[in-house]
Amino acid sequence: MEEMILNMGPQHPSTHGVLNFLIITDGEVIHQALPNVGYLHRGIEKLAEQTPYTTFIPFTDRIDYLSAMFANHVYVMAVETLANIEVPERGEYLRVIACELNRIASHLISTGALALDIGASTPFVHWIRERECINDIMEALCGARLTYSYMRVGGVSRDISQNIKDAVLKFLDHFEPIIDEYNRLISFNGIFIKRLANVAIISQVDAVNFGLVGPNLRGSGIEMDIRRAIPYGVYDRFDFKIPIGLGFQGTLGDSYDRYFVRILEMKESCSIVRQALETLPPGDIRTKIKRNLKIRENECYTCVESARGEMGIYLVSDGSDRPYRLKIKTGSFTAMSIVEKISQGLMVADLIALIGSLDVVAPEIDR
Amino acid sequence: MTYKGYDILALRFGKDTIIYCDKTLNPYIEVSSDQIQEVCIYIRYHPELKFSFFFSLSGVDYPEKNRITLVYHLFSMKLKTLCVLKASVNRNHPELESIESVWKTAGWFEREIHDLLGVNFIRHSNMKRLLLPDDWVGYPLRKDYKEPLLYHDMETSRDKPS
Repeated sequence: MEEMILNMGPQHPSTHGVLNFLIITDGEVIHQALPNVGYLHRGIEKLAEQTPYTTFIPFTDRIDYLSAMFANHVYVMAVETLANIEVPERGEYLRVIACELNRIASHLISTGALALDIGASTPFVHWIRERECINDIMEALCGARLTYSYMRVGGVSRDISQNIKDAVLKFLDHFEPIIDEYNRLISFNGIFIKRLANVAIISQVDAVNFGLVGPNLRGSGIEMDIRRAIPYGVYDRFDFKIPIGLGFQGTLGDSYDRYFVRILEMKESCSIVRQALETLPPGDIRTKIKRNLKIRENECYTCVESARGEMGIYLVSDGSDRPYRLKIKTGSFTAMSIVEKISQGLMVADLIALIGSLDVVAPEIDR
Repeated sequence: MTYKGYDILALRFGKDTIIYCDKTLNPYIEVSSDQIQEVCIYIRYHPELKFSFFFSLSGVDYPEKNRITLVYHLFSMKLKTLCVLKASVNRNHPELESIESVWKTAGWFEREIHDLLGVNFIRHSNMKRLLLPDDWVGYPLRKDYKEPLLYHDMETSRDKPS
């Protein structure tokens, strides 16, 4: 037996950003894969301590570029909780619509890129086409296609017009049948299933122990969703299911379960957007707040269910106009820490399936 | 965490060693730094508490009090509530028992805090820097941190673009 040390990344296409793995292998079998993170560390937490509360919002976009809306949301929620600011109902509904559209966009990239990573390039192109529609809607809604900065402390930046509403409904009518078409194209494809089913199984005990969140945790069969467990905003008014892994094509908690939970979640998100558009109340979209927002000494922890699971912010204020300490907890960070354990004994090619199915985004790990 | 949950803890550890404080928005429990591991094991496995989800671990630097406070956020599906534990360490000799053995994921959080705040976690399996390079000098999230001007003879700052 002869061990070989391989470097995967930091410029590897399937690591979704700048990530490096030190892989110790014996031929094709991995003995250990050690993740080496930090290439994208920008010190956002330190920057927060030097930035006034309201001007920090664009920084939060950069935590996770695929689902910027959730980082916006959790940050403004933290500030609102501390400063005791009420958000108008219409503002809350618009937040839900924007977040759920963003969740669909993020899952499109995640599931499409997983297929691309393991060798099927067609589905990715189809998903990118659908995502363009969401990007266009977002552009009309908040003026940006990727880094939205849509949320404001006290509400959202712009109201939704009738044109955008129609565009969203048109997109949903078009998109929902496409999910089934996509399933026929790739999800039930024999080769695709063989590459994912029974690969990199994460047991429930491990999932909790390693602090997995979101679709990764639910893929292991644990029904845990922040939208239900700690309801925030107006999520308690909508009717939606929480899809969990059932061992769809193999064992519970394998890569296929994590993949398929995301597909099912997109359907639920479509339904939430429809409900929110139907019941959208009239009124203001934003509460007026003081230009120079100062918050007296206090602290709080808020969390939302982002596309990559629970995203939390621990915010400490000290009476000045900027945070004393801001800690950002993200889903990719904990997902990354499990790779070292699960990768033992995998084939090198299956490591790609594991990372793809965990849906890690590098800037979110490093912040 | 509700007061009822605290009662169960206080019964085991005594009201003098763990202190309940509800002045902040999320009430927290202050634990002495040498008991943190015991409290974590108890709170995770006690049948009426079951705080099995580890949400986050953060460190906050308080130079004027000469201490670094570590804040643990835990969640229980059974009680549907958040629990905040706080443990403080001396800023000059920041040392604390690692809780990696209770939640595996805490290992990475502890490495991040070691990296950015310079806290040493005892009996941690791999106490190395996580995000910054191994040869970086200083701990950026400390309040008195000054960025080094050079790193490997490269300038770390640049003139503001005009």
